[in-house]
Amino acid sequence: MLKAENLKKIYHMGDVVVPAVNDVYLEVEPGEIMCIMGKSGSGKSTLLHILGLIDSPTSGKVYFKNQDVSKFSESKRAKIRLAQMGFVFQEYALLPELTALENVYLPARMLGRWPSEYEERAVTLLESIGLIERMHHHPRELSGGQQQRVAIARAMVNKPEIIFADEPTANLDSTSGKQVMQALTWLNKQFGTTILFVSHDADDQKYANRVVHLYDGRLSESAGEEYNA
Amino acid sequence: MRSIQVALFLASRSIFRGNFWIGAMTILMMILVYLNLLFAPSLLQGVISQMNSKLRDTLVGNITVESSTPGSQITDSTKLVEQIVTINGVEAVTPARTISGQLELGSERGTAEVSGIDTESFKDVFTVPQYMIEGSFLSAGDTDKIVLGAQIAGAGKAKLELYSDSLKNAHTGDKVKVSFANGAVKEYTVKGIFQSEFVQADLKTLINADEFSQVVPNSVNSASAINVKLKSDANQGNINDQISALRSDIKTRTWQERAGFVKSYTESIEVINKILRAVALFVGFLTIFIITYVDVVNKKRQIGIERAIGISPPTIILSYEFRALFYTLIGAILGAIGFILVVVPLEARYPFHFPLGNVYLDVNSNFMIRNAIILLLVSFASATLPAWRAVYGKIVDAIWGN
Ligand SMILES: Nc1ncnc2c1ncn2[C@@H]1O[C@H](COP(=O)(O)OP(=O)(O)O)[C@@H](O)[C@H]1O
Ligand SMILES: [Mg+2]
Repeated sequence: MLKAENLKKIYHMGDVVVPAVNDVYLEVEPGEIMCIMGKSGSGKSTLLHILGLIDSPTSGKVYFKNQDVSKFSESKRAKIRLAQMGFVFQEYALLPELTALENVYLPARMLGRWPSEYEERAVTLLESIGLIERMHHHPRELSGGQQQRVAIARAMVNKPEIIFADEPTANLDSTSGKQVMQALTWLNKQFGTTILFVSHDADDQKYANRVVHLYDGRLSESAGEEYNA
Repeated sequence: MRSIQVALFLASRSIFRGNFWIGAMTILMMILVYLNLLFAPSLLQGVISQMNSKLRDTLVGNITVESSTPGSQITDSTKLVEQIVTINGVEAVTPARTISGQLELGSERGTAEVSGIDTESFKDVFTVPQYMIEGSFLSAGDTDKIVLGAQIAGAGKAKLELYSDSLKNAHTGDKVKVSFANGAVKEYTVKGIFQSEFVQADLKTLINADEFSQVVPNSVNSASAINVKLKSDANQGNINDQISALRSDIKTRTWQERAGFVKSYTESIEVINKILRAVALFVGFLTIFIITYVDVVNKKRQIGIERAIGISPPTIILSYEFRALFYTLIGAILGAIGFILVVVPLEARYPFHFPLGNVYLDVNSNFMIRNAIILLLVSFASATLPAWRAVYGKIVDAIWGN
């Protein structure tokens, strides 16, 4: 489903060269929940953005459904993100001027679905994550956990094949965090959506079928001691 | 198509759920810009209309008929006048004989054209009799009476443009001595003084045609000029041709052909007008540019998220363009309503007084719509620039605020 080959992302901070992602090979199988563990600054977000076609690698290749997408134009990548991928960010990333319902259906509208279709789908999703009575509220009227669940519904609205989640629970208390992770696993079971999430919290490993570890931009299959820091 | 729909959706949410005061202030600015775009040109158009109608109503009528030989008179003018009157669309026709003369009152002298007029038809063609500031206008039977334009009479009005060349203090009842160009000399009693505020007209002096024929003996049945006034819906070009075709020894000129000196006034005003309009449009441009710029800077992260989830950059740019168009359209509509319901009536109550008299704002809906469209185009362009810049940066930088 998703494959990365020899990925590198190098940042230049003045004279200092920071290899945020270094020599990464990775394959995500359809229908799995994969977790990338790593401590803060290890390059998790950078890697996730590259895999999610939001950012470009300095070198290396990304294959999505056997297509080399690393050379695609931005407008082609935007179409893939819109129709086949979903994103949940670490910070609450809802649009403040839209209600929960509007936030959820925006990507569906962009994809050209009919109002009856996208509204119904958005309502169904909000219902399944338990926020139906909040659907006309604005993000500022929702708690962090509720916002994050709305973001998950938004990520799901176009029935993507894969959802990328960047530390979706990092800013939440443990109860809300649990609800958010359960919402993600429920989607995986219900619709078979592939999920790739990153975390620095070793507790989150239990939600994944497979865990890889990132140290200073390099991947390894086994856990070290550092990531709990 | 769906880009347009989503852009409209995002724009409407941004307008109606964004900061109310920013929206209100922006609309207010656009109202002022639009009023600025309308005001100076309407005033200028008012001046031009005023000049044109004064030219027609006090000096030349719609069409002037003269002899085709320079310096000669139209012969058998009575018959020609009768012929012209019967043309469809002609409202009134008046012939006049003119000779120049020197006027004397005490030690003051002034030179003027003295016209012998047919008082009845003159009143039908010209509005001069409505502008009497002293005494009254000529009547058919008047003898030894003269009516003076204010610029030649002076009438004690030191502010008049040509006061120093006038008789300075001529008033009704004064006796004015006139030495005509043909050598005749006669004294007249001033019957009245008119001031149309059109300088060229206010330089004239008028006597009865009967009086004139006493001074210029062979002037009966001849005219220096015949002035023709048309009905308001008449086809001037067509009638002009018909009059020309009546006789081969005459030539005709429309009032537009005689308006050359008016044009030279208006051209310089037009330059000022262009500068004012450019400034107004620039202010409109800056207003939209600034509010769009501030908005995209504040919403950098939001724009990054929109792009990350697959909203295309053209859609986002379009949403800013729609927003700008909305503010401008509302501004133009409110500005137009304010202009028609407040500015124009207010100016009409307290009109600007120009050398030609009171000037009223002259606008038509065509002109207002054209200006609204220009302003809409300008605001569209000025929203595009900052939105374009904001949207084609790196998504990651936008979301994480680098
Ligand atoms: N835009 C950037 N410019 C320069 N350095 C960056 C940038 N983004 C991330 N980095 C650096 O790359 C490394 C990895 O960052 P990141 O992927 O955000 O890590 P994580 O998500 O695991 O905390 C860090 O050292 C960070 O400082
Ligand atoms: Mg991170």
